[in-house]
Amino acid sequence: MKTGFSLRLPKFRRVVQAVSLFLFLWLLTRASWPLLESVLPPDLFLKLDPLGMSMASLAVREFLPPIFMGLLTVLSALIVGRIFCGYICPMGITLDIFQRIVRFLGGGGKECLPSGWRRIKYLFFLFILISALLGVNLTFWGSPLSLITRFYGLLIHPLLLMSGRLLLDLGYPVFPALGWEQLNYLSVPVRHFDAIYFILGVFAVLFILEMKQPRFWCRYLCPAGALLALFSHRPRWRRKVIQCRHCGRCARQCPAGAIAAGGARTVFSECLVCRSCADVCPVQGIKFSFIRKDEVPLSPAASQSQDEAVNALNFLLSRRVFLGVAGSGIMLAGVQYSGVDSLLASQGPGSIWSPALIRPPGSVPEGSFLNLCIRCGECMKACPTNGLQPAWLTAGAEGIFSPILRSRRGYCDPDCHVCGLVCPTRAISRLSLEEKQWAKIGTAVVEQKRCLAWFEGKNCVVCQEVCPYGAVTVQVMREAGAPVPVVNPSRCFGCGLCEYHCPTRLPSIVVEPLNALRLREGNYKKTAQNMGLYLQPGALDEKGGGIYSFPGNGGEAEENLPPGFMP
Amino acid sequence: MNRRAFLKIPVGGLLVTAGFSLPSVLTPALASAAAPPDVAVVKGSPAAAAREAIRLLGGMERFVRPGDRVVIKPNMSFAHPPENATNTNPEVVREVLVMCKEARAGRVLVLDNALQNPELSLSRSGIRDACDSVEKDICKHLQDIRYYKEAGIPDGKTMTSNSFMSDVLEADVLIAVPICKSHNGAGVSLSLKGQMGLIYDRHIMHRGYLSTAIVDLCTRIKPDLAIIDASRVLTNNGPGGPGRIITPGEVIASADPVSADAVAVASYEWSGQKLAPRNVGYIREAHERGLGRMDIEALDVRRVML
Repeated sequence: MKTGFSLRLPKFRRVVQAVSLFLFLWLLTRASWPLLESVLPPDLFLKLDPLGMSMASLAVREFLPPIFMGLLTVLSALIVGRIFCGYICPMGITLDIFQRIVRFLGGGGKECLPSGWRRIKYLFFLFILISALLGVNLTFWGSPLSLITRFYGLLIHPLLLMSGRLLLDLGYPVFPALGWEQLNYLSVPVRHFDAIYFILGVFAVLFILEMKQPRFWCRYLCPAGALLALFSHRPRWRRKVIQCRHCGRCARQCPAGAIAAGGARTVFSECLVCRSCADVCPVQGIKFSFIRKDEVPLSPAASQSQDEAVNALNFLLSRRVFLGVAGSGIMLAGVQYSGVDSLLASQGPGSIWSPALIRPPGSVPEGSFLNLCIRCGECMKACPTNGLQPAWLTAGAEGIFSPILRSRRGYCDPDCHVCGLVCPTRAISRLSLEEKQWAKIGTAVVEQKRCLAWFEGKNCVVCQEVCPYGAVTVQVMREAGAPVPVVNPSRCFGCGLCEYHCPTRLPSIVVEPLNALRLREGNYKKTAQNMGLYLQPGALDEKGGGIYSFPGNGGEAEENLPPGFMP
Repeated sequence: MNRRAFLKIPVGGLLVTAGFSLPSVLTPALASAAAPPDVAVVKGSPAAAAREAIRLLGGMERFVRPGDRVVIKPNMSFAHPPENATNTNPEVVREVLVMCKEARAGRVLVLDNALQNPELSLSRSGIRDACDSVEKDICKHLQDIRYYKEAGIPDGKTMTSNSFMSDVLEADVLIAVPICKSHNGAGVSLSLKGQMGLIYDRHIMHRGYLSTAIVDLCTRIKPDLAIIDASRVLTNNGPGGPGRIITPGEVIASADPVSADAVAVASYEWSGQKLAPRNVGYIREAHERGLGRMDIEALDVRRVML
């Protein structure tokens, strides 16, 4: 039944999928510091996302050059249909792998929902589009690339590291005997992330749906798939039925439910070009090729696409649906702007900033940041100290899953600028290391009511010890029983090394988003210098750092001892 | 304990000392002295000064027996080059390592738990390269809890347990090789204070009284040998700087880390002031609790210039 030729075709797709997933994961591992150089950018797949770039671009009303790559994906749909969904998209591949596992375990359903359900994805897409036009980027709720990058970067990667550590721990007693003592010094980082329950929850739902029906997400929900479907209702290269017995085998085999009328008709907007149908056809009557003008179809009915994409478009543009979706989009966009702690519109007087809202260095002004950031998690995956974390509601409901620095978990290393290098949308500007060192993200504030030195009179100035910028000075004051730390704001970057190392359970020195530099354009170094900042890690000068104030009142010898000494 | 008992046998030191030809700079009176000095202070280029200081103390063989597992604890906590005087001079660390190898030590490790970016601290300090030039992969920063083991501190007053680097607990010999620098919290950071780099939870030490906690710690992991690098000295705003740096070009060594620290305090001006060992809380307390001696006027401190 199967010829050698037809056997190779599905294998070819599997090979492409394997290569694609491998490339995606490999590039994700490149997103670390030091940035591992590769020919391809670490955010390649995110840029190929047909939705992410274009919606971000619309929402901030600015032309983003990487939009071209997303457009390339959209244009590919005009020629070869949803080949991106079938071959390239790591989300689709992940679902396919899961489907394989489910089948292997003897499960897997073929539950068929009415084809009308497929319209959900078009509604989802329209909703995102309308919101973007109104200046709110909601892509991250549905962009498959955002979702899957978060899944692998923030959920799977830490779990793999944890497994690696467990293996090393198991081997700890035996490695020296085997002569592999160095393995006992192999440092496997521990990564902790916030919001992973959400990621887990979303993927649990997606996997359960996948068990019900193959590619449930891609068929019914994916808004990027919807966009590609709209462009692939008549691709140039497509499925053709030359001979048909109407046995229906291909329709049952199709993972996308794209075959109608017992095999003869194709819903191109749903077709993933996987060619499973050609593989199972008992008369080998199906082929995929470019359409030719002189081609005579088997029968008029067989050549006809069931124009579902056109129907969907008509459906979307029908008055009732359009007004409904647009109305909801407008409503949500309005709400996003009018929440009490929304920072989309204004960050001026009357706006409420969370004290924990510390953005990565080089982040554009908050309103644009919220719209540019597609919440892919690349910056968080790359952050070497694990300090960059997805936010819950720190940046308002509008800023959910956007990156914030939680210094207590990990500080912003003065010698690293990787978050800006991996950000696909330039929500975090791509800065040289030198410029990044001037991109102040906040200011440390001493909580005197908790501080061991200020409050308890203890000899603790760990914050001053560790400060790379020389921003924490130690002052001898009569009221305090010991030398106390004082922050010089013009030298403080907000890196949070002090907060990270502070010995009190609740940190007594905390980085707050005071005077953070957020530029849309211009040079951070020049701007900072014009503002009188001096942000030079490890500098040897004695400007700022190391200035002591000796009160010199009364001239008692013990008061004039250098900090830390006792009479 | 066997090790310390061994060190106390004067004959051992005498035999080793007798085996060396003494340099001409020494006075005849010193040359005839049978026992090694309590503290040796040698001025010269960093590596040579370190070697001479150890030679004066009776040679590394006095401290390291063949096959001993040795841990060397320098300061390499800051992502700074040696010029910042916040990390130990790599030449001193290298020379100590070479001397341990010459004494046919077994496994030697150079360990610390860095405060700033650990990889950069090791590379910028120059210490990893210096160690690699002798033996690969022995210079490490250990931050992960898996490198640590919980252990009690029976003589501790405020800190009765902590997690120590397993390698330190298993070591036969612990050598402190700190840089000589000021410390805004503790006055100075020298060989006793430097032991804080060998434990996991340093926070707890600051929550109580730092001086007492440092002495508590050293009752458990007291260095068998202290070699203080004073090629550069950060005289204020330590331990991270920036501050005023002087260059005495000296190395101070002693089998008693309290004495070594005491001599270092008395040798230089801190924030422009002459201070005594008793002005440093933990040195005074270590002396009072019998960990070592800070009464340097009663000790044999031998100063040599190369």
